[in-house]
Amino acid sequence: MILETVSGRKEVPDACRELGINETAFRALRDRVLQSAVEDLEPKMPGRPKKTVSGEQEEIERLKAEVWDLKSHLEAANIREELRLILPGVLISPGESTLEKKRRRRREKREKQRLKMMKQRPDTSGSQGGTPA
Amino acid sequence: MTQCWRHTEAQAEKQGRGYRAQKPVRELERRMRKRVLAFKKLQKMSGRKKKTTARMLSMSLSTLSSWERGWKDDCLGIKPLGRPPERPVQDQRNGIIDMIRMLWPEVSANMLMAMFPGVAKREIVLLR
Repeated sequence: MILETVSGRKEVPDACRELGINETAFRALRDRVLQSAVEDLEPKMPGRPKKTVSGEQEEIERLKAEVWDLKSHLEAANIREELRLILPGVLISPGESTLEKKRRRRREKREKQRLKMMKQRPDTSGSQGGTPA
Repeated sequence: MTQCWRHTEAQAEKQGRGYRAQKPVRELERRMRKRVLAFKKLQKMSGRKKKTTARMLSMSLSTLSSWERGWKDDCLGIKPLGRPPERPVQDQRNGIIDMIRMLWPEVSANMLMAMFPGVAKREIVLLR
C-alpha cells in the first residue's frame, strides 16, 4: 500500500481509508519504512556480526578448558607411571642430558645385576650346603 | 595395566626361553606404545604440540617420533629381542634330566653347569 502511494498508483486518503488510520499516522509509517529501506542499503562490515559472549558463558568455557587440561595431566601421570613399570628406559627426568641418561641407565643395570646375584645366592648356597649321597 | 604387567612378567618367567617367553612382554610393551600414541593424538586435536606432549610424558621427542614412525611402518610390529637361544641337543637334555633325577634334591644349577659346560644356565635352571 505504501509503495503504491509512493509510485502514485493510489492516493494517500484512499490508502488511509483502506487501512483505517489517519493521514498523519500513515505518513509517519511511510517515512519509517522508507528510512529503514535506505538504512539497509548503507555500506556495512562484511560477514556475520560478532557473537557477544556473556561473562557467565566465558567462565563456563574457561572452566571447561581447565577441566580438560587437568584431565590430560592426570592421564599423562597415569601413562608415566605405567611407562616407569613397563618401559623404564624411555623416561627422562626434566633437564636430564643424554650423558646423564646413559649414566642412569648404567647405574640401573648394575643395580639390577646386583639384585639378581643376591636372589641367586641363597638358592645356590642352599643346594650346595648338603653333602651328596 | 600395572596388574597386567605383573601377570605377564610372571607368565614370561614360566614360559622358558626364546621368543615364546618374551612374546607376552613385547605385546604389553606394544600396547603401552599404542596408548602413548593415542594420548599424543588426542593432545594434538586439542592443539598441543608433540614436544609439549613428550614433555608431559617425561619422554624424549625422538622416542615419541620413532614410535610414530613405527606405527606408520608396521603398526609397531613385535620384534623379538636378543639372539636366538642355543638349545641343547636331545641327548644332552636327557643327560641333564637323568642327572637331576639321580642327584635330586642335592643338585644345584652351578653343579650341573660344571657337568655340562656347553649348555646355557637358563636351560639348566628351567630343567631343574
